[in-house]
Formats: sequence, C-alpha cells, structure tokens
Amino acid sequence: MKRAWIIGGAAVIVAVFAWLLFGGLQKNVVFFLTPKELLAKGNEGVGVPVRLGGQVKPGSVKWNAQTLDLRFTVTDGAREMQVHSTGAPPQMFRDGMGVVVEGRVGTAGVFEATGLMVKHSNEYRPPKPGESAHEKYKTLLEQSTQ
Amino acid sequence: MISSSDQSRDILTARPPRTGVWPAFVSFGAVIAAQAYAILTSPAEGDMGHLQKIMYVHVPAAWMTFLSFFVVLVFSVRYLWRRRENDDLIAASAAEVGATFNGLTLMLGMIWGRPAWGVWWVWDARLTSTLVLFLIFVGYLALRAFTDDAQQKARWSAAVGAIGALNVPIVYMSVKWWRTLHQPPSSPATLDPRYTMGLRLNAIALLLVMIYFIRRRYEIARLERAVEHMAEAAAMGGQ
Amino acid sequence: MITAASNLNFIIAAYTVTWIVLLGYSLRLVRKGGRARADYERIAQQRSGEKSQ
Repeated sequence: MKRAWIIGGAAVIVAVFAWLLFGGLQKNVVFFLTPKELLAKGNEGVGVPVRLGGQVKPGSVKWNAQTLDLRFTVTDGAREMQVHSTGAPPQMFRDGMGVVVEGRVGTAGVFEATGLMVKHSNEYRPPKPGESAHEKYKTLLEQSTQ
Repeated sequence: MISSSDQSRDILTARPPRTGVWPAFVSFGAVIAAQAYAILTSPAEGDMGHLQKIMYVHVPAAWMTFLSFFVVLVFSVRYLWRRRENDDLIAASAAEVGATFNGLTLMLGMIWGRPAWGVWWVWDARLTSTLVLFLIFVGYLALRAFTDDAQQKARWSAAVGAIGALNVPIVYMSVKWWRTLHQPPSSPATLDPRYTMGLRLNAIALLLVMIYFIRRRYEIARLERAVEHMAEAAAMGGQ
Repeated sequence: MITAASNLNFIIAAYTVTWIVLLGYSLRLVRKGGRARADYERIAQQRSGEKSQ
C-alpha cells in the first residue's frame, strides 16, 4: 500500500518535471516576443497564438468607454505593433507602462488581443510632489468618462 | 550495570529541551510591529498605489522559503556525510517550514498579481519554477510520511532535499536568465528609501518566526523519535 | 473591472492569508507537540515502571 503511494507520487513528480522541461517551460522560457521579434517572423507569425510584450507607446492609447474598445501601440524601442483589445484593461495600464498581450496577429497586421497583462518594473517610487498616486493609477474608464 | 549500548540509547531517548513561549511572543510581536510600521509609514506607490504594501508579506515570505531550503541543503549534506540522526531531523523540520512559506509566497503572489498584472497566474519561468520548488518539497514530505524505516527515510530524503534545494538558485535567477512577466528583484537602487526600511524590518521579523518554527518543529521531531527508540527498546525486551 | 477601491480588498486578503498561515502552522506545532509530549511521558513512565520491578 505504502509502496504504491511512493511509486505513484514519484511518477507524478517525474511527469510534472518531464512536462515542464519538454513542454510547458520550453514554450514559456521566453514568455513573450517583442514587436521586433514577432515582425521578424513574417508570415509565420500571423494567425498563430503568441504573446507580445513591450511598452505602451505614449500617446497611442485610444479607449472607447461605450464599446469597451481599446487600441494602442506596443513598442520595444526598435519596432512597434498596433494592438486591438476589448474590455477594461488592468488598473495599472497606461501610457508608457510595460504590457504583455495574448492573442494573434490579424491579416491587417494588427495584433488582436484576447488577454492583456501589465508588466511592472522592479522600481517602486511614490509619486513626485504635486501629483497624487491616485491620479496616476486610476482606471482608463474613469479617465474617459471625465 | 549500564552497557555502552544502553548509554547511547539513553542519549537517544532523553527528553529534548523545550523552547518556552517567549520566542513565539517576541517573533510574532516583531511581525505585528514591522507590519504596522510598514503600512503606516509607506506612501502610495506611483503606479500601483497602496497595492505596493503586499510587498511586505510576499517578498519576505519568498526570502524565508529560500533560507529554509538552504537549511535543508546544509543539513541534508551533513547527514549524508556524518550520518547523524539529528541532522536528518533538522533538515526535515526546515523542509516543512520552507514548504509552508513556499505555499504562502505562491498565494500572496496570486493575490498581488490579480490587481497588479490583471491575472492570478501565468506559466512564466519565475512562477513555474517556484511551483516546482513547492512540489519538490511536498514530495520530500510525502516521501518521509510514507517511509517507515528511519535510516531509509533519512537517506532518501537527504538525497531529495539536497538535489531539490538546487532549484532555489534557479528560482532566484529565473527572472534574469529568462524573459518573464514577473519583474526582476528590486534593490535599494530601484526601491524608494521609504519602502526599504519597512521591507527590511518585515524580513527580520519573519526570520525570527522562521527560526522559531524550525526550532519547535525540530524539538517535536526529536520527541517523536525518542518515543520510537523507547518503543523499539521495549519491543526488544530490554536487551 | 478592478478599481482603486477594490485594491483594499486585495491588500486585506494578502495580510489575512499571511496570518492564517502563520497562526495555522503555530496551531499545528502546538497540537503535534502536545501529542508527542503525551506519548513520551506515557512510554517513559512505562519504562521506569519496568526498570524498578
């Protein structure tokens, strides 16, 4: 009985490791591609599920609060890519923030996102005198309805 | 007449010392004080506002996970080298405490990730390797629970503990080696001084808790082992 | 949608989970320690009884 437990437990652990080494982790060691890397794939990068990461290009965010339609540009400094998403983004989403979007490149070359994640830097600083934190991280929805 | 084997058995069956309650009060009091200080003194962060305050529990929990498994590594190796029962029991105690902190780190990371990143979980290298570390030490504890022979238990778990702890540097370096959603570690250069002190105090307080936990767990393990030795001696009819 | 107001819920959740785990593990130690001590005293007493016979 105990022997069966040990063998079963060992099998589960080995299976998890095998999956991580050869499946899941292999794919996720590079969690996202930059616009430059995705564009370098050419047609191979079109229509396949992929994650795109970079910085929200300042001034590129267009948000329609009625249709929950969100458009912005992701840049890695070298190349950039337009992203289309629906639904309210995470509260930390804003101009200049790091983001990772899940989805696929459409035929028009616009990235159709099914998921939007904010990638925070390792810097933690309070807002400078004169601006309040609340102003900086309030949601886009609030911004657009002002 | 006391034979030499009886003498060694008396050492094995002696009542282990017991840590009083004051270390518990001191360490838990330190956590309360450190949390109160950090929450009350740190200003809202520019990007994430007061969510930054989750750092004071998530980051020290992760550090204590690493430290606990370092203790497992040291005492597992020492057991394999000297074959002393106490080293095995210390390693096992640290593994249980480390697994607890590892589970806490994962839960706190999820609670922080949902509002900050927008997702509870992603399979990036940092999160995945931290989950693997947790599974290794759950496996370590299961191995001990299901092995009866004390020597076999000690040998197998020392091997698993020593090899499993090698995953600690992988977890730590994952954010530098691979491209992840999780950010790289903060340093005093990237952390405002108003957050640094609170983080340090919370780390020290949780370190006290970790030491208290491992010590208490080790005392219990010795007590249980002493009972086993006495039962064995009784079964052998006092030979 | 997650707003600044609901951030407080996540912060409270994080500190609550922390204390549940810390106190929960302490409780496990107290219970396990009590059991181990009782076992020890019982067997130690049996042993001293046998020795004195």
